[in-house]
Amino acid sequence: MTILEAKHIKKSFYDPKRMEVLSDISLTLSAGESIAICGRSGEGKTTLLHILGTLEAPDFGTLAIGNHPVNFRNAHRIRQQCIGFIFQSFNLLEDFSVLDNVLMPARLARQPTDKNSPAHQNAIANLLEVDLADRAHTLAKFLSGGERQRVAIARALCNDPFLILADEPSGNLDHANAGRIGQLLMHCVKAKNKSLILVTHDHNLASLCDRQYLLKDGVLS
Amino acid sequence: MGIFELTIAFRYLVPRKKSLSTALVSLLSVVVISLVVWLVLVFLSVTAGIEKNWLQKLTALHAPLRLTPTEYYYNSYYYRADAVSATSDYSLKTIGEKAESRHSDPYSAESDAEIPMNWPSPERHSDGRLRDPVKETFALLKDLNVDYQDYEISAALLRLNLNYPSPSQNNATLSQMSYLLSFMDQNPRFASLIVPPSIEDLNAMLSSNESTSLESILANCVISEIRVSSLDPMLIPEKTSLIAFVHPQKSNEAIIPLDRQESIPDGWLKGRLARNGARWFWTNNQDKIIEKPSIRTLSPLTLSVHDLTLARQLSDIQLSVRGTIQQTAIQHKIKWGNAIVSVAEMKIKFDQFPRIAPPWVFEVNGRSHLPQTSAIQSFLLPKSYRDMGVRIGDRGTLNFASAGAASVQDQRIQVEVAGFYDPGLFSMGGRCLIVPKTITRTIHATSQIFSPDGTPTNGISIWGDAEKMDNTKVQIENSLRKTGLLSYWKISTYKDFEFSKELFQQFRSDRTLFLMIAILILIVACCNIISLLVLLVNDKKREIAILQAMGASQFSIAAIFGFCGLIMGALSSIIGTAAAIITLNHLDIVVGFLSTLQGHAAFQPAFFGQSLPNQLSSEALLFVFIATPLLSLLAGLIPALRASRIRPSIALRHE
Repeated sequence: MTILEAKHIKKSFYDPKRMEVLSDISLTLSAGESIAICGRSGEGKTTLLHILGTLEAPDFGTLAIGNHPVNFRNAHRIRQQCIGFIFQSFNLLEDFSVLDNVLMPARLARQPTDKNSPAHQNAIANLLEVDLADRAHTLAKFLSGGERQRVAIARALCNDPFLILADEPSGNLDHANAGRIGQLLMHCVKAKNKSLILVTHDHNLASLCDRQYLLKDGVLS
Repeated sequence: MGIFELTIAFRYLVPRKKSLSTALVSLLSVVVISLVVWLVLVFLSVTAGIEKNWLQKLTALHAPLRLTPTEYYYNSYYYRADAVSATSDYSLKTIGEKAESRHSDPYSAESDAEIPMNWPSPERHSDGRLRDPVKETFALLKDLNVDYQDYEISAALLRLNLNYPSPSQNNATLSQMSYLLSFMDQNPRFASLIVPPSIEDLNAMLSSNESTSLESILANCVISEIRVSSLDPMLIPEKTSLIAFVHPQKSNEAIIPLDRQESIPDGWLKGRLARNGARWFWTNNQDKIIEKPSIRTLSPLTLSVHDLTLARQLSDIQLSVRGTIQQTAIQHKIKWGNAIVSVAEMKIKFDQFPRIAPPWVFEVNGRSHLPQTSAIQSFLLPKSYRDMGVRIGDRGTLNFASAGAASVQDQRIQVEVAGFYDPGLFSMGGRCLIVPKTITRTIHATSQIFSPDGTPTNGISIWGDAEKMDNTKVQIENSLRKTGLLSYWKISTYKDFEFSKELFQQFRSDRTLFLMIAILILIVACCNIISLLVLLVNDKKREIAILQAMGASQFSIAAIFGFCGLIMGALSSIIGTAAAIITLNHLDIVVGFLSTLQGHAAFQPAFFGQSLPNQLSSEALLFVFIATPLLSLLAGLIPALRASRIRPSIALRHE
């Protein structure tokens, strides 16, 4: 079953001259499949990931996620229900607790998040999985880099999305933590049967994915 | 959309160390808006209170709604027929007389002169009866369940003999051309205008030979303290003596100081005053004894009254008194003599009609009554007459000219002052006497008067809640139209009265002007919110992008910052309202401070009343609680829209 289908995606930036970052990208992702996109810095990996994650609109081309064509109106709903993001710089809400961060997608989706709610129990289960259940009430700003990224993984799984988009998840971590996070991410994705698009420099991490692509001169190969 | 956005908005507004500038701007915004809310509430509440006070003052004497006869009425056969009818003594009738008259059509074709050809034809019912607009209107008003009464205004020359024993005004006469307004016992608000009788009034009534009977005065007042300047010898306690002085040349008079230390004029002989049964004497302990001297106190002695026995004459009244003189307690039954009342309570409010009515204006269950204890007609004067030395019980005459067939005769009606009232703002208020209806009718029958302030001299007053008078007016208008009586009457509310129209228009203009200024100040104050929220949006750009990545819609993001504005507006409204309530509760202190600062009264009592109104105006509160959050929300919209347009991909990439 196709989870994501991108056709002829093009994207250019003007700085001040027009610079085509993505020339003609087409990509299909099936349920439970994981792909890694590698490439040098500035090749447009993050731009591609943002387009695939509906955070940015392509100049040209179409995108369908879970058989729904993506447009301006339904983009936030698709992000809410279908996609979990993991960023290189963690992007947690610093003044909120770990649990609040993990529950945030559920709150945005207007799900009940009281103690007995399924969303709350799911969040606790996810925190157990990333081994942070004991820090549920710690403010995010007091966590270490590795812990933050684990919270981000738990948050990405909150609304039980079928697609996880990870942008250099180990990019800001030391070697040991990077390895652990990579393993944890792959474990969670496989265990919960999620599809994964992983943008990374890390060839070891990329090798854990089902397919690997190289983004070069705006084209995937 | 709701709880989630509100929670985030609250979180964003909590000051944090990291964002000190935002916290400072937010504090400043709340302080400025609270100050504006405070100012608006205090000002609007005070002005609304002043307007309400004026409205009550104006409509207490003159009802808030008035029906006055139109030209159509005065030209009608119904009105003019009295002038040619023997039954009506060939004199035109007032509305009150028309209402009480047994004949709607007094004219008799057999005995009365022929009706002039140019008169309009009589308006008749289908059964041939003459239409009686006055009686029909009264019946209609009765059905509408409103308080109403006819009124009449006339004029006469008042000549009043002033009896109050005052050195400069003793036995003076006051002469003044005055307007006479008929007393309206149906007026439910008139009682609030009555100035209670004073101790001076009571002393004047008691000392006046012309005053109404002692019985009616003393039956309606409780005298608790008197002052005497001569001492009844029976008050000297036996087996003790008091210091007293006698003049060598006036040996039949002893002067007794109230205090032993009180100084005495030179040349007086010091001695002691003692009593033994019915014998009292002064002695200086040497050889001089004066038997039964008259005793005068050096300064007036205050005695408390415990019992009073009535008598025909004031001087024969017996009083059980107690007091202290030269640290000695005194107590006895004494005769009134030349006592002056210093403390007394005069009854003006009664639950039921008193068996013996007081000689002053009184109130039974909220309705005012003029005394009818003497054959002389009682009347009320504006309170300013008090300053001229007029007291209750003063008598005089109302003089008016009556034009006969061959000459003009001077007529007089004997009258007695029964009290004073507060005329409020009424152009002829200072010269308007309130007299029984019989007087206005007597004068009206002889001459027609035009009032100087445009108040029609005859009409029907209708009382009720002044603020709902526009509705009552429409109701009466519709009823009159339906019954075909509208052409006989002009209906006007207090807003149309000549003497009050401009004042109320000015009040309205002032209020509108201040409301506009208040809205402008509020807008300026709320603009602070824009700067605060722009800072906040810049500060939270990354978090906005994170929320968007997790699926927050643009609307949600806008709502968070809209709520920030709303919360600040609501918080400022609450703080400002609390401050306004505290200020209004301590308004006298604020006014006192302002007066001290200026060196004269900050608010003239003549216009603002004895103290400024301090009731929080519900209208002002409603305005503040709608306008402030609304303006804050609007101010929050600009940054909110900006926040919602943040592109998450750019904001996240910059991190």
